[in-house]
Amino acid sequence: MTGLLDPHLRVPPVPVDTAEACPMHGSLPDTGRTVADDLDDVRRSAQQLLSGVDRQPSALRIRAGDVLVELEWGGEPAPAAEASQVTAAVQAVTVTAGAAAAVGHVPAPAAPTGDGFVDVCAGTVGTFYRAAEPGTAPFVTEGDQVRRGQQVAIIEVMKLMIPVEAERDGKIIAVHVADGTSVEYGDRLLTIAPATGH
Amino acid sequence: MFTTVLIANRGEIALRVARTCRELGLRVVAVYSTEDRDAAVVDLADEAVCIGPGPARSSYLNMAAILEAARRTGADAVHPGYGFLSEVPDFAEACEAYGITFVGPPAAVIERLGDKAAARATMAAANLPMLPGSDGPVQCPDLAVQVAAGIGYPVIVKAVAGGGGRGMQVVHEPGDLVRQFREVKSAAQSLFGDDRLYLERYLPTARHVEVQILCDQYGDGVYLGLRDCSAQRRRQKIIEETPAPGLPADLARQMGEAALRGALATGYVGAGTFEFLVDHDGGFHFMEVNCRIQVEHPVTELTHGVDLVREQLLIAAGERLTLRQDDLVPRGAAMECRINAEDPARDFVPAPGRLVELTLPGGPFVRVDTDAYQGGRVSPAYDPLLAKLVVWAPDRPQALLRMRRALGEFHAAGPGLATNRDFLLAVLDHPQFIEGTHDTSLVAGINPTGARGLTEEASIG
Repeated sequence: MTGLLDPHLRVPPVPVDTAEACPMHGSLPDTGRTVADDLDDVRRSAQQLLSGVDRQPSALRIRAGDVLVELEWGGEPAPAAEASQVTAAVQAVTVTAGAAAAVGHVPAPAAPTGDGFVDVCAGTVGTFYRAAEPGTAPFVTEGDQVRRGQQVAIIEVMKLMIPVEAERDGKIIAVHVADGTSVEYGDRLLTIAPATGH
Repeated sequence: MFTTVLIANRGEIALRVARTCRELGLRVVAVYSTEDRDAAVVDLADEAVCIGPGPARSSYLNMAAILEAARRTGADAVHPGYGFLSEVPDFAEACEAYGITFVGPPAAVIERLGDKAAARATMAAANLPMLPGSDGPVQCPDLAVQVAAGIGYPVIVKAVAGGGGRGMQVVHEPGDLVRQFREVKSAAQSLFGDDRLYLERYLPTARHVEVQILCDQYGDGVYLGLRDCSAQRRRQKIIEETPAPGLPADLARQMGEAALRGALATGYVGAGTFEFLVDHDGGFHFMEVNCRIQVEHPVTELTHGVDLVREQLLIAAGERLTLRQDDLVPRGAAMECRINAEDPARDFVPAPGRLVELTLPGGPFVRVDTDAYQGGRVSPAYDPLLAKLVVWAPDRPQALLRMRRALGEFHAAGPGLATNRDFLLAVLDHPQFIEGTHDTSLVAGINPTGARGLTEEASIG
């Protein structure tokens, strides 16, 4: 399930089609998913996202392989009143639609911070760990250079160890959460200053 | 008694459960997806945990995230509401394994009753009247042809794992059976991950009547009257009422007793609903059991003066039922309309959006269960239920008048938003509905654009 779409595919925002059937209460975790199902999820998620924000984004990026959707707001910074709304929308931007109840493969959402930095956010509720095991060196510390996809932390959810990965090449400029802290979905964990020429 | 209840649900039912918890002095933990950040229950709860992104699969169906949220907040009980994980045996089992009280029947009971073929067998053994049907699942189309010939047409082919109106097909002609059997089989596999099917006689014009039951952990149980849910559109209930209009008291009592007998035979614990079909000759037939609180539970609450969620919580905490069957005498009539964000003019497609304007009905004996508020929105990610409008009156004609009046007060508007309000009014105005003589074929015959008359939509979805 990789390489369904060009990772850097940029498409203009699509109009929201409310005719799309919505998941109903009571739908059970399904099995036997196909590529078409995943694509369908991507499209539906994108439509949901676009219907949920008041300001149309400048770009929508879709990455397949555990499926990631990103919206971006370019241009001048939003006025103060709108800023928190936009931030909230950005937090909601990364949607996972991977395998059923995809706890094992939830990509950490990345959120642009407005000053060119990128936050790595918790992809699941759980306990945040900076190191693979107690007493060992942390995966990363402030100032470290990281590559996209490099593991930077762990979140433990019900004894499952879920790696947190860097979404961009760049430098770790802040770690916001102490080792062993309970986090919820979307909590800001680390901040990366992206390498230029991404 | 537990002290903190995590509500593993969203929308109006999460808010409704939270309110009763509050009245019982229980701490409330809400869980929510990023789509529901602004939900009313998130504000009301003592603590709220974001468990994932919008798609239910990654949030409200994500057992690990919900259990982690319970661990994080010290919740010692989980109320699953309806839908989502409410009837998933693995979830009930996982809660118990982590020392968390699951507010619902034991996992084994959910599992047995969730398998529709097994439920049929269990209830037949408890002497509940059954429609003619297959003994257990039917594996191959050829066998289905034989079985159907024995049952008589029309037959309905149903997924063993089905429910909520999905994974079923009515077959009118023997020549269609093999093809339709295969279609349902593949649909069942993709919907439920289980392609086992069973067959039953189909009654085209029956009434859908269900019995509310409550059972404690000590083998004691009561039934709380009947709800008529015959006003359905493509097997989705839209108007429910109690008592079932025109149903003889003796038949109602027989049905209540049969449901309770079936429940006690399976070791049922908690609130549950036994669904029956009632034919025009006054015969009733077991259909299925819902192991959860129902969407339409408020009508029973209004006529019986019982908070069913409170009873669920007390039963889960190990208390004995204090309700006695002889005391449960319903008063008056109650009716519920499900106001959905959907567009009847466009074949009822979901029409969610921001609620720029929202006026909710009020006045005497009117209850509105909703978590919608002006300025909020109906999310496109979930079920389009916007509000449940429930009224009580001393009798059915007055309840009808009150429902019309209250529905008339309801107003919602916003970009892209539509509701079925006017369609509900058209159903209320239908002569058969007014008489209370309607069956499950009524709604299909009402033109969604308002003009009365038959549409091309068949009586079955």
